[in-house]
Formats: sequence, C-alpha cells, structure tokens
Amino acid sequence: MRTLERCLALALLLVGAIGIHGASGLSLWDEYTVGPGAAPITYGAILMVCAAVVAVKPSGGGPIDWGPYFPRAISLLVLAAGLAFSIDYIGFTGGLFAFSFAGLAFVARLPPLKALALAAIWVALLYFVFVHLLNIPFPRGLWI
Amino acid sequence: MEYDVLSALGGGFARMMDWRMLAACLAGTFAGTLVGVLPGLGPSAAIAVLLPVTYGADPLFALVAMSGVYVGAMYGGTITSVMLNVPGESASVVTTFDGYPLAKQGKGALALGLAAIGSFLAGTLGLVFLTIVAIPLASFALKFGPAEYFAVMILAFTLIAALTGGSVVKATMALAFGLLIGTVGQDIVSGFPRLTFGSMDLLDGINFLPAVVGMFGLAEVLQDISNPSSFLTDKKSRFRLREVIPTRAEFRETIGAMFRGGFLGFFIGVLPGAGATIASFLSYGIEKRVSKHPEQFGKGALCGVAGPESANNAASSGAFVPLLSLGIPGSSTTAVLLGALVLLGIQPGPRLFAEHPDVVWGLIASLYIGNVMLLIQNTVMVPFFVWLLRVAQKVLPVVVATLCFIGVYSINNSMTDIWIMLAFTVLGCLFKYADIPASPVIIALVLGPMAEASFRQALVISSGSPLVFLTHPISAVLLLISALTLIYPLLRRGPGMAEAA
Repeated sequence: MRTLERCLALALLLVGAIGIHGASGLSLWDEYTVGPGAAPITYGAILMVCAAVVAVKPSGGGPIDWGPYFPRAISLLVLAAGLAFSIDYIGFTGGLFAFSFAGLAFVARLPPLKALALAAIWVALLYFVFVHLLNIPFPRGLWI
Repeated sequence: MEYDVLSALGGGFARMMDWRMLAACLAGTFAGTLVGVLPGLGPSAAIAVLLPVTYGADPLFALVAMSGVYVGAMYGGTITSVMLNVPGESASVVTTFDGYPLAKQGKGALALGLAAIGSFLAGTLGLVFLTIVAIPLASFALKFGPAEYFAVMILAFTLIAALTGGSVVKATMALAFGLLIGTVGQDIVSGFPRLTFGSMDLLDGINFLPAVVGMFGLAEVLQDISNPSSFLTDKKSRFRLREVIPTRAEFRETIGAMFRGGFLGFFIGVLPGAGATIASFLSYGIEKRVSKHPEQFGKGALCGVAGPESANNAASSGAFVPLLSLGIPGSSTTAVLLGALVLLGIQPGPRLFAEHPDVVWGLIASLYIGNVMLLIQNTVMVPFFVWLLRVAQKVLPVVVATLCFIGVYSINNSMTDIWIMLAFTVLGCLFKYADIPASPVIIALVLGPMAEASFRQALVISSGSPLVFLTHPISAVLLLISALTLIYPLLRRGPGMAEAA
C-alpha cells in the first residue's frame, strides 16, 4: 500500500507542478485584487507540499487487498473505455448494446444467449426512456 | 426576512399536496432505498445521474426527487448491514457491529424495525431542528459580504480536512487537488484561460458532475466487482413481516438511544466534512458508554443498532442547514445537491428563503413526507429489497455503468465529460486503495471557484487590503475558528502528528 501511496503522491506532486507551471504566465496581482494566477499557484503549492509529505512518509501499512476479482474490474474499465472510443463509429445505442452484452457475458459471466437477450432488453428500455420520453438524443456513429 | 415559520411550512405542505410531487417523493425515496441497498452506486452519483433527467422540470419536483434519494439511501444502507453484514453506505458500517449478530440470532427483522423507527424519529427530529434553525441562520447570513463568505468557506475546508477521517495530510492533499482542478477554465474576472493548455474543451472548466459519477459511481462499481459480497448463497436473510415490529419493552429499551442519536446526528450533520458516518460512530461510542450492559455491544445490542441508525438519518437532515442557509455543502452528496440547485436556476444561500420560499419550504415539507414513506418502505418492503439484492447482484455493475454513461453524457451532450468521468473513475479507485478520501476533491471542486470569487471581491471592496478579513468581526471569528481547528490537534498531540493523524 505504501508503494501505491508513494506513486499516487508523486503523481499529484507532478500535477501540482504542472498547475504552477501552467499558471506561471498569468498575473498574480491585478488592480486591487489578486490576479488569475494566484489561486492555481497557491493550490498547486499546497498540493505539492502535502504530496511530498505523503511520498516521504506514507501512512498505509500492509499489502493492498485488490480483491479476488480485480481482473474483472479492469475488464469493465477497459470495456467502458472501449465504449467511449466506439461511440464515434457505432453510435451511442450500438455502443451501449455492445458494452452491455460484453459486460454481462465477460464480467457478470452470464451465458452468451442470456447476456444477449438481457443487453437487448436493457438498451431498448434505456432508448425508450431517454430518447423517447426525455428527448435526450443519443449520438449516431459513422457506421450506424 | 420575518415570517411565520409554521405558516411557511404549511405552505410547503400545500405545495406538496399534488400527485406529481408526491410521486416524485415516493420515486425518490424508493430509488434512494435501492441505492442504499444495492452496492455500487452511492447517493451522490445517483443524484448526479438523476440530474439530467430532471432538466426542464419544475425545480421543486426535481429537488424533491433528489432529496428523496439522499435520505432514502441512509435508510436503505441498513438493510444489507443487518441482513448480510455488508454496509450499503459508509454511514451504515457501524450498524454491522450489532445488526449482523442480531440477524445471526434470528432477530434481524427486529433490528431492521428498530433502525427504521429510530431513523424515522431522529430524521423527523432533525427536520424540526432544520425548520427552527434555518431561518435565523439565513437571516444572520444576510449580513455576510464576500469577506464573511470567504471565511465560511475556509472554515468548511479546514473542517473537511480535519474531520473527514484518516490522515489530515491526505485529506488536505485531496482538497488541494480539487481546488486546483477547480481553477481550470476561463477566469471569471479577467477572462484569461487558466490551465487549459490550449484545449477548447477545457475552457468551460471541469464540470463536477462527471467527477462525482466517476469517483462515487463507476469507481464504486469497480470496487464491488473486485471484492464482491458473499451474500448470494446466504439464506439467513428470510423472515416474516410481523417480526419487524418491536415489542413495547424493546421499544422502551431503545427510545433513549434513538433520541440521543437524533440530537447528536443533527449537530454533527451541520458540520462540513463530519456527516453521517462520524455521527453514527460517535453515537455507537456514546451508547456503549451509557449502557448498563456494554459487554453486549458487538454481540447484538439493540441500542447499538438504534442509536447509530438514528444518528445517520438526523445527520442527513442537519446537512441541509448549511446547504440551504449558507449555500455551503458539507459532503459530496450535498455538493451535488448544491450544483443541482444552481443548474435549476436557484442560488442557495441566505436569500433562498426570501426569493424562493415555495421551493425551499416545499423541499423541507417533502423531507417530512419522505420520512413517513421511508418508514413504511423500510418495514413493509424489506423482504422485497433483500430479494432484489439477490437477483440483481450479478447484472448490477453493467446496469449502473450504463446509467453513469448516459447520465454524464446527457449533462452537456459531450464526449469530453465521458472521458473526464473515466479519468475520475481511475482516480477514485486509486484513492480508495491508497486510503485517500475522495469527498474533499468534489467539495473543493464545487466550493473552490466560489471561495476564489469571494476572496477577490472582498479585496476589490477593500481597495486591495487583505486586512478586510480581520477587520470584519464575523470573518475574523470564523478564520480564528479555522486556525484553531488546524492548530489544536497539533498542540494536543505534539509534533509528528501530521503523519499519525
């Protein structure tokens, strides 16, 4: 756990540094008040100090309990990223169907036919509620 | 702002006597109970997902539904804590200490009955306090200028850092991260782009809703997939409905715990950063201390369930006090509610009671009505919720994930928001594994721009003198309290506390 804490603290230290660097071109003081650069530089500095403390002296002990099904969680995250990528090509409805089917088949470990049927019903329900009842348009893709 | 509180509340009840409002309240509380029962979707993410659905609706209708989700989740979390030893919400963790042993003794239904009754009594007590306190506090807050508002927000930040739990340094780090990303976008005063690095998508800033859904929705789903609860084969969670009602002796034994929890929970709930989880733990500690049989705690003490459950529900009522009176959220859930109010065209804060009395009193009235609905749902419908939990556990992650996608996309019809949500999902998971609190990030993301605006306005008004924060008495006192909040633990524990805290 300490290693993860250290890595995360170092990443946040970098975020703080990027924040300070990004705001360094902005003025710190305008007429009668602080300029647009003051807040990001202050927050970035606080973030860097705290992250440095955590990186030097992490408080966690013992190994991280990733859980017995951690790979499945990663699978769902990959599927979610895949859905975000695929929307431009197969549209939101197609992407949601593919995501639901893959999620039910590979993460929930349902039989393929059951997963297919459930995914179809679920996406049809979502389409009906959001597109027809709430008038929220689902974007179309290049192919569908 | 002088008017009769009772007649104003009466007006709120009159506004609620519309079938659509009652339906919104019923649907919100039911959905909230589901959110509490089913692991994977916290109340803040659920409200964030619900928000786009309510665009264009009557603001009160939307707020009634969202508040129903918030209070309903507090009730629902109890069911899995008692029956399955799996807390649905962090505020219900302490309920597992005695609730699950009671379930193993065959008294699970009784524990749930006492929790529901305690939640109802304490929740109503908290609402009475909210009704009494909100107007005087809002009237007082009308005297606030930018300096006072900035001081209130600094107090909120220090309390969040000190009371969120775990390491103060980690909480401050999360807070600073939220504040920093809150500055991304066009500066409201000068119009300069800040930290956008040339991206047009970031000019409008980072919307907090995708961040909430990522950190508290999808990240929770992933955690739940990694560490699924082992209740699918548990058969102990079946009982008859009549077992839910406590006997007169059992009620008499626990009524004190319910009221103690109610009082404590309300006052803890008012404090930013403290909230329902701390209230429930404190209540458990107090009940153990005042009990004639402290040895029974951890083995199935009725007061060990009634007290904390009452406290966490009263805390959710208390959390509405700073939100409605000052426009300051104390938790990630109330931060989402604050964002919802703004998106619905209502500015929370001291003028809320004067400018939108129908909405605010309608909302408070809906909380009273919602409490009654929740009492019925959480006694009569418990077997249904447990059944649903068994049936839906496998497909739940996919269902929640698709709802998160649609909810976030519908906010601005933007794919950037989807990517922001995914980034915060990864961050939320890493924060959880590294034991870094996530709620300060969200609160800072919401409050940070407001704090900066107040700070800059106060300086402009005082012609650039930073002494403005010390010459205004209210601001000076609030800043002093903030300083003491940070310094006191250091003085008490000595150097080196920072790491130990």
